[in-house]
Amino acid sequence: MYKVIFSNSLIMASLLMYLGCSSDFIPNGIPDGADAPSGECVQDYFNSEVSSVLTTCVSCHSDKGSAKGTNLVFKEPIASSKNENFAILKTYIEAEGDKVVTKGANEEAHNGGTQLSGNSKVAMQLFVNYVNGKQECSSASVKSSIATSQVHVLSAEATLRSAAFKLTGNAPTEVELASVKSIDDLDPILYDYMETEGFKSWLKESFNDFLLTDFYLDRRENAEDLLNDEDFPSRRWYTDLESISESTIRANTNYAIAREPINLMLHVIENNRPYSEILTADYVLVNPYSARVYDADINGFTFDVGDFNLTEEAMEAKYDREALREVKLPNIPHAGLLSTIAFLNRFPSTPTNLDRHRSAKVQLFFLDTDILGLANRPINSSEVVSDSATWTNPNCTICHNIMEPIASTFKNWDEEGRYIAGFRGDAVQVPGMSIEKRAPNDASEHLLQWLAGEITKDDRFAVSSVKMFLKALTGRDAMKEPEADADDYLTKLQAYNFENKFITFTKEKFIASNYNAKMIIKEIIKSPLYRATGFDNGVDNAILSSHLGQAHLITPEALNRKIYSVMGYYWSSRRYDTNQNENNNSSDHRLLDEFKTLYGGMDSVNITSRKDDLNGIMANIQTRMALQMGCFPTTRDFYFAPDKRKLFPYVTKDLKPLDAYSIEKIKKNIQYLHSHILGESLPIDDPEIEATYKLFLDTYTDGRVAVLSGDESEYLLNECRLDVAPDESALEPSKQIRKDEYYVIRSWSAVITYLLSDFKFVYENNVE
Amino acid sequence: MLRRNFLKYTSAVAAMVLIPTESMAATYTGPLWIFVQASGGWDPTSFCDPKGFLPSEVDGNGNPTNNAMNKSYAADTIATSTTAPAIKYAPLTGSGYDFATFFDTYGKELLIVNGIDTQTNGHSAGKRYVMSGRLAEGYPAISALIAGVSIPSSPLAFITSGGYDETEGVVAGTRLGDTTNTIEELAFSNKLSPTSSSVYETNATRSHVQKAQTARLERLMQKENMAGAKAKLQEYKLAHSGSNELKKLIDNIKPELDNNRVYSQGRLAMAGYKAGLTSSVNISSGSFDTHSQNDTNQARELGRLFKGIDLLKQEAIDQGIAKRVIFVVCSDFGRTPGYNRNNGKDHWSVTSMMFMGPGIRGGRVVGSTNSRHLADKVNPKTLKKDINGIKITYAHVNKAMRKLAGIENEKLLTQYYPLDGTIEDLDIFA
Repeated sequence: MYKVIFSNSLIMASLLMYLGCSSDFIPNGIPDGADAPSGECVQDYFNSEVSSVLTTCVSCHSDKGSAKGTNLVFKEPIASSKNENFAILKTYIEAEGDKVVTKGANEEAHNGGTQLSGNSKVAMQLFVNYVNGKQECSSASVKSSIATSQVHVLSAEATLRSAAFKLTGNAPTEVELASVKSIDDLDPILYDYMETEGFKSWLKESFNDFLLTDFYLDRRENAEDLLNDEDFPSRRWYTDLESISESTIRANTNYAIAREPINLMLHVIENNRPYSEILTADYVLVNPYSARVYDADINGFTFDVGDFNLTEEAMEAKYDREALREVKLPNIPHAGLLSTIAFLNRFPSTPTNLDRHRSAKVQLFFLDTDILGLANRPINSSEVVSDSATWTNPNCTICHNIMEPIASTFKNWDEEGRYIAGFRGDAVQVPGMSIEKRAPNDASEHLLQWLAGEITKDDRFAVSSVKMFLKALTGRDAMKEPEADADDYLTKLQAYNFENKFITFTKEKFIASNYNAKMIIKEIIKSPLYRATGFDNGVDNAILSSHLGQAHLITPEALNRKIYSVMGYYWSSRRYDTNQNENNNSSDHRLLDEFKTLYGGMDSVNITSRKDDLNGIMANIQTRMALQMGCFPTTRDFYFAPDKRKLFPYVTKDLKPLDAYSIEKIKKNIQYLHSHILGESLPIDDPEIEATYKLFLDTYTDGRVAVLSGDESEYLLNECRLDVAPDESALEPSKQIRKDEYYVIRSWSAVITYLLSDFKFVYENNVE
Repeated sequence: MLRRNFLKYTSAVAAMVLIPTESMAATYTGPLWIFVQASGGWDPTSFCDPKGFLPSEVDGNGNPTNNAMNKSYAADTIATSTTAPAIKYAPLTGSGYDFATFFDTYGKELLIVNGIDTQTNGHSAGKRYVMSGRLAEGYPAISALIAGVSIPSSPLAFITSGGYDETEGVVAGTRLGDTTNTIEELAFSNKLSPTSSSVYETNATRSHVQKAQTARLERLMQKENMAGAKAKLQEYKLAHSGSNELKKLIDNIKPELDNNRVYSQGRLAMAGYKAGLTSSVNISSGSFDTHSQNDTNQARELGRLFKGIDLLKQEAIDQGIAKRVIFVVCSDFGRTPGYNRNNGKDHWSVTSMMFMGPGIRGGRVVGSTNSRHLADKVNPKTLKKDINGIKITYAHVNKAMRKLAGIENEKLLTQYYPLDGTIEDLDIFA
């Protein structure tokens, strides 16, 4: 059943009185259509059609461009200077008529050549006509905005189910579900979810998806070796000591250094610190092992070399590798994750790259600016041959003017991430946030710290933070503002505007919460960006329909957690292990090992992006998983007492569908499984329950006949039998599960296979 | 308007309106397209558009200066293919592979296009432009388009190991990895192991489960309203309906002869092609972004690349498909004329491409550059150098490849992914 967000409180109140129900679908303060861009038709037209055309003009017609002396000088950045540029262009047209078109199209001599053609020329001419009153601006020329109330969304309960799996890897409890009457009731529950281990795992994966610093895990390249041995003579402190535990100690040391950037992000979120601290932290996080690398001797925390002969278990019990402390290293001007060795090496520099790569990444991650995206316009190689082209030719300056000042703020860090004050000497450009905003002279030895302070004060930091979590939650990037000559520009713009109002709304709440990142996660989950299921009749925007809501393949890591959550058992390459501890060993989990990249995952080395399109190989992985989990893990569930079972609380392993009582029990268990595995709350007579029961019955009937006729064994496959208890203790024969003479266990296996390979189990989705 | 109607199905499901919704028995008999993308921007002057250093570019110690086009060989040592006199190449060796082996062995088949104006020197834009024919975002790679038109229902139509491999939903790209054991297990997913006779579910049970899954999927598709989710449901249906085809791939995989990355990735595609399941593959090769030590690093990476193609040519012979494989070898862009202070070369918007295969007249070089690697203009009819002509761009090459693949008039391309109408029709391959 669809729920609808109504934003107008009066309408809402009236409707609720009429309906007589509670306000279970109104998020507090969520923006509606009234917040969409409005005002004068001409200004709307400028905002939607003309503003982006100016992107090509500003390379010269800006206060730093070659046309700065003319009477047409626009403000930058274009995207956030619409009001100013509207006034500038309007004034110009009122004085000069359609000169902006004739010169822009090079019909009248124009030093910049042809800049307006095709759609951009048409748009500019129309704008001139509107300003001059030659033509009347009508709303038909501007695509109207889509109101929030026109978007159907998941119910609060279904949203909670989805969020629970997403954030914790587990289904919500019955108590939690019962407590949700309106969408705002989710708030405290979501905050609880954001305290769980599952949430931390999800955050680590989400952060690594863009930082890629897990490249240094698994000892592909030892992170401690990245540190300079003169600065950190103890970087390999463990090699001086003889011990059987060295490899574990080394791995734990490496783990902490590789994860410094990601651990910092987690640390800030877990402790409800301002998210800006990920860049401004004046410390590095160490664990008991990496503390020794930095000679940070913290009493009772840093690994004591006297403990070298501890067993591995005792060592890890005493010195938890996940335990972290803040340490300020002498002579290092920490700037949050920017100054960590993992970040600086994952995004290295060269003597000729001059930190431009680092600058591009910083701006992409934290300033909502895709410099490489600016290179989408054609350049002419014959115009960029001079030595000074980088600084003077508009083909180059469009990127370099943005890139260079921030690149220069890395000038005190060498190519390998070592801090050496003045390393780069005189940088090619003055360090700063931009050409205009230069770093003060007294910041010369701690430029990254200065940069971090500036970035986190900039509105774009908050925007990029929202977009990063939007990607983590929905699996897709935020929409980009369409370029003026884009196909279906108005449709794209309408979709972009709809999404952008939620991004802006969330950004403002984020800032108001003193940059608490949990606020972003909570607000996105409650928004139509996450919850959309459909539209009112009359809303026709294919771009929006393909972007809103959830429709993406669950990552291998998240699917691994979800399988465990519903089955109580991981999909493991050690299939015959009954021992739960063995099964918990993540190195054997098939979705984290041999199938990880085949199933669309990343290795952070050669494969650095996820693949979301299901192909034949991935479909076979789903089938293989469902078949293997339908085998031993399904049998295993019957070992436990009914109230301890994950799958079969209402049936026994030999309950046959032969009488009304048994059939009722079987259907009740199927109803439970639909809820437990697929998150579907279905009445007992729902066609889906009937369809699953039919599968059970057909399998049972055929199987029973086959067993009776001798065509099938009355025993389970060896691989599917339970011979010993989950704690590995011996089982007396009566408690072993080897036989299935009535074919009931195998009928349940078929049901489990069916549900585990279902679309709703393997995809994040809003299908209700 | 067609474009607008198409958008109702969303860009994520472009081909879904045109392609079958069920997997069909493999029927592909066209050529296998192998796209090898040299990642990072190669230096054409280090192989197929050689310049070398001139006597005037040598310092007092006899060493080439940074102004030289190539420090690693002199202009007067530029080699000529023994089988194709038109083809000149740099006389280098990299990763133990002599470039002469490649250019002499395959010169007759090889078409080189020099002097391509890439119109960008950004990595993302360059990778996108060479493979999609459009500088801006939003178009699928031509490798995906070929697969999307030829056998969209095959689970292995388009195999990719990286590079620009956007599909925009016209076909599902498949990462195969290098492990044939894993593929074997997946091909026989209901067996305990590929060689076991035991199965998890009997035929009768499997049939019941699959029937129930099909019916359930139809019900879900009926209920769904959002275009994005509809596309994913369709994708799920298509992927599962073709999942049995993997067994055919297994039958055609030959033992691996070398761990060369280009070869490893291409041989699985050849097995897929032999089984009628694969029509194109993307292979990403190397670290060509040589801002420092250009000559050493380019030679190393090019040697690996040439050796990989050489091994694949041998594999094609072994598979009996040598005359049905098209190679397209390309990169993001080129590298600057002359060296920076770290003996590296930076990004440069002039480059080359290489082609081999059926429909491609080899032993030729189309296009040219001047002594400082600036692109010469060519006459669009004769393809000869012509100062009043045009510069060859990736869009021209893409247009020619569409024609060579016989997909230029397909509805998917003409309605949804047309190239700019002003792009000239260059008869590059004939």
